[in-house]
Amino acid sequence: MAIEVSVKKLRNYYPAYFLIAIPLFLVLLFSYHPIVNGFIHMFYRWDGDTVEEFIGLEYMWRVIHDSELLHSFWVVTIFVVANVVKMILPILVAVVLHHVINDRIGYLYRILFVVPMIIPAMVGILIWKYFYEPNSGILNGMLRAFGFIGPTETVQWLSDPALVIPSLVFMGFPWVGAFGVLIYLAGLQGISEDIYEAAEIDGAGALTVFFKIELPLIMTQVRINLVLMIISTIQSWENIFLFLGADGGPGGIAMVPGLMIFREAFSRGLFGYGCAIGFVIFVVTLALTLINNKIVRVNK
Amino acid sequence: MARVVRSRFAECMKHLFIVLILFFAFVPLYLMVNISLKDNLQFALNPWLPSYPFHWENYVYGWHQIGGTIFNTIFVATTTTVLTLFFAVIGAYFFARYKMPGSKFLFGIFMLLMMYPAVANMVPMFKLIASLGLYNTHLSLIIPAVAAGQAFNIYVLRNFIEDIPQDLFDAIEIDGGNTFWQIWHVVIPMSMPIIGTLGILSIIGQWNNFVSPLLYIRDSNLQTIAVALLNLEGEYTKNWGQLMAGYTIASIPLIVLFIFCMKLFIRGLSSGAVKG
Amino acid sequence: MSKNNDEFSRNSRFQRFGLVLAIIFFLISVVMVIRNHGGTETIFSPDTKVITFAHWQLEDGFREGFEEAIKIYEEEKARQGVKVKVRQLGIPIRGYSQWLLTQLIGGEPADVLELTGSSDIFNQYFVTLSPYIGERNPWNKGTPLENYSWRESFVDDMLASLDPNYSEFFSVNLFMMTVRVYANVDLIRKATGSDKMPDTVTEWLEICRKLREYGKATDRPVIPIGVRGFDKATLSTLFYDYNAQLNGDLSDFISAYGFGGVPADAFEAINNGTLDRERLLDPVRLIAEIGQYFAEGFPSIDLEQTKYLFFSGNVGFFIDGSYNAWSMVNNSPFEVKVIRLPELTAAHPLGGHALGRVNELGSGLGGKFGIPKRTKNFDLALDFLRFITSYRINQLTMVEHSRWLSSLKQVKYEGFMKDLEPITDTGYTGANDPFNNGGYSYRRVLQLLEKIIIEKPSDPGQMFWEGFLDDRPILTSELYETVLGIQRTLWSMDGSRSALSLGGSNPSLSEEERELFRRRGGITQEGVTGRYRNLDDNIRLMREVEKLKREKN
Repeated sequence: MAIEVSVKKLRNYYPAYFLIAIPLFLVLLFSYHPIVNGFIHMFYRWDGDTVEEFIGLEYMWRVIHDSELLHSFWVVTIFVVANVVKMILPILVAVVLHHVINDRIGYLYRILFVVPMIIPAMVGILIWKYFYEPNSGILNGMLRAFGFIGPTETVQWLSDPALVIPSLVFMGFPWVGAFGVLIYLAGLQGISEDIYEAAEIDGAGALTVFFKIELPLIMTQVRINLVLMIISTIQSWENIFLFLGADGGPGGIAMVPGLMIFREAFSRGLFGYGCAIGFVIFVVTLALTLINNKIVRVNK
Repeated sequence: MARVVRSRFAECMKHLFIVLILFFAFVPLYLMVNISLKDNLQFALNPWLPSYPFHWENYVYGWHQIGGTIFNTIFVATTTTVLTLFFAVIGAYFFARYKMPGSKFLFGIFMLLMMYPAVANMVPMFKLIASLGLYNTHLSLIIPAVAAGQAFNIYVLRNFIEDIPQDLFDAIEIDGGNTFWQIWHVVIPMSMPIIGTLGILSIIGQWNNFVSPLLYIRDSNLQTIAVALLNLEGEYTKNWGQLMAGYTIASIPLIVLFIFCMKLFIRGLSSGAVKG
Repeated sequence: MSKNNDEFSRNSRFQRFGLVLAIIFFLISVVMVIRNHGGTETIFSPDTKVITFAHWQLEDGFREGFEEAIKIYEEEKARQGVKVKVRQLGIPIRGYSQWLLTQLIGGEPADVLELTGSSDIFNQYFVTLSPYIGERNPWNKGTPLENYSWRESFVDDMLASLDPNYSEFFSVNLFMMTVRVYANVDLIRKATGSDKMPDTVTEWLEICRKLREYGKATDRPVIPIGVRGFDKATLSTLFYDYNAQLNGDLSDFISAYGFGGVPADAFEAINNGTLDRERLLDPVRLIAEIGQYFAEGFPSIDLEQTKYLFFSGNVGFFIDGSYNAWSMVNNSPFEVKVIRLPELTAAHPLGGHALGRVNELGSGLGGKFGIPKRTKNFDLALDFLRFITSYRINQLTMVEHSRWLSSLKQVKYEGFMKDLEPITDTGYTGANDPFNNGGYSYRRVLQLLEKIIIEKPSDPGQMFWEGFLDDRPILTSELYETVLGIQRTLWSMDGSRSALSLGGSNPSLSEEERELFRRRGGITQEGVTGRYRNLDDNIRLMREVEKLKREKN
């Protein structure tokens, strides 16, 4: 319930603006200044330093016709869809955690879910690389042990073009980054006992309670997570860089837009073109977020 | 009686489900600790199970490499987190409680930030930091991170503050509370769980961030732990045991911190106060 | 109820303890940080000069070696009455190029840096060492290299440091690398019944075949050839080496300039009908044949995984640089032999006109170190650079600590390092590969080779040719960017040339400074010529590549 302040009442309320003065200043200086700099440079052939040659819309024209960039957006779309599916598990975990009767054990679980979050991301990457390693990796080892493939056969998880993307999607199983779980839990714990009692009196089953009470009530959190997930997925490139190198795997099959920026700017010295791709990512992310906010409405 | 049995069965299934998920979530942690006690040969022959003898000297080496950076990292991570959340709570309060002329536009300014991929403006950012004289100081890590953190934290916090019942604010206002009184006595207690979560995320993010310290810090006595960890990897040869020992040491302060803070944040939440 | 209260108070006590602990740690960290910050100024008194030395060599021994060298340097300088403090900065390779570029552009670079990237970046940001390389290295006094100029003290007379595009020396090399094959003697003995190591490609392929059969017979996942596939290093090495063994003499008769096997010349000759393109494709066919013995899924296997496979005893041969030799020989639980890359001889169907092994002298120098233009301590940086490339110190850091080959002359090796010494008794040095124009289009060529090895087409040469023709737009756009870059550089070099000649006759400068300007100006003149040649090559290459015909002759 926000306080509506019209222009007329501004005389009494203008000090409120000071609340955001400092963050606004920081954001303008440390975020907008470099970003605007980047926007301007998409019209330049720019090596990041002294060479600045105005070329107008040449890069924009090239971006539109860049089949590799188009492919990279297709790849990232797959990752976004996959990540939407992956959101189910953390929701389930949070709900189940919320329902664990024994408080002590439930509490213990919560702590345990946070602990793996502490593992440095690099460790995860190193370990998953070994998981997929074709000759002695644990995955092929299990397939051999269960007789799915012969003792000297291998499945090339990260080099067979057909398997690269599925392998990347599966990576990080069970996908319960504590952020999701904790944020849902915080939402779930806001549901009052009365609602549960009412549901129990109505004789509602667990599924009904989940779909009719819990899910609608954590929609705020689901939406937050959805928006953040889409943004971070579209911008992500580090994992693919570390797993498959700057070329995005065999034949560039897993190239994503963020990695293209990195490659164009730092490997090929085309900072201007990197900025142009950055602008495209910006526009796409913005559009998706606006659509998401329209579709996933929160019913209170 | 049947009902009790059914619910006991259901309870067991819940535990089974959670334990199974936890098992997978803990595999990387297990491997990290396991490998940290091996030498390269043991790792090559048997990376998955413990093997004798344990190489505790890996930890000595790991500590030697990264120990000196721990306090820098605590300082940077904590300062960044506290400042980020301080400004973000106030900012989120502003957007959640006031509909001022221009509110939407200002909110847009913050949110647009999240849409721009950071990798595209690494070079302009470096030039800015160098020109402000922040290069090779901890401020070069703290201030830009506080700025960059505003968008995400305001976005999340605003949603939570909007959900705080009006009655609570009214009650405070009758008592004569001003803005900061309201934030201290209503907003912070009510959104403690989410502030805690955001704090944890921010600390972890800072703890693991190696890009900005690598670019902005030159002196090794100011360096943070993530960069020191990277330095354990050679290009041509890697010593896995030492590497993992280093990562394990780096994780311990975080684990200790969370053992204490989890109580504060998860349990400290008064049930039913934040209504949807 | 009372139990709950109990628990609550226990909890809050626990929390308070945690909070106090956190605050204590934070306060300690504040104190430590203040000490660290302050430390920088108090340790180095104002008259102490600080130089920073940055590199990406984080291998065992390298940093330790330099810690020792730096200590010696600081003591030596103190004896000369100069207070110097040298800081060593190791940056992981993964982020190094990014780090370097950002520091150079941002204007806060270290004083002595390991170089990576393109000639244009070197030219833009690094001081040319050309005026100094004719002088003796003062740190070589009393060593076998005492009477050599700095340039002559290097094993290749600094040929590898010469930037071909600018005819300038932007860096000097610290170490030397040769490519060697590490063979698992136990496994080969079991599979072939003999300890004999392969000397020719034919013998090598035969042993590989036996290894594979042995694996099938014993149900062991035996990999005849372990590959460093992730960064395509092995593939690139093999392609380079066997191309040189097959086509090392190409530039002798097709190059318009009489040196260097330039892509433009090769394709022009094909278009004129004076060169059979099949000759260029023979190395592809050879690689396709050798590639059949690579590990499955090799494109995703990185160095660490390959070493892991090797140490687990199931890999017959592993091809990698000498920089890895110590860790291969030392860590392995079985006997490892270090051998040279097998020679292509007439015994192999493709070996009819093979030229023999490549002369390795000066081909594998690594660790380019230079001084950025924006350094504040040029004289000291140059002195330190000379110091680390002096006879004693280079052996201390490279041979003793890192167990790598030194880049200097007159260095004697012992033990397993004898096997790493470069091949010097053969005729042809490495040849330029016509498909390698550097940059991204070459990565595509390597990807194409990977694809050929995986898909096993009936004619690998033909498939390669088709794929290369398909990738022409990428090559052309890359060449276009290069051409623009060269044109820009020529423009600015023209300006710098006039500035230098002015400097050379400026009466207000000391004679010594004028001499430096004159020497520099002469070399820049060469650089301009080299640039024009390069421009010409690239424009011709764009034209010739467009003209290449798809249908088979």
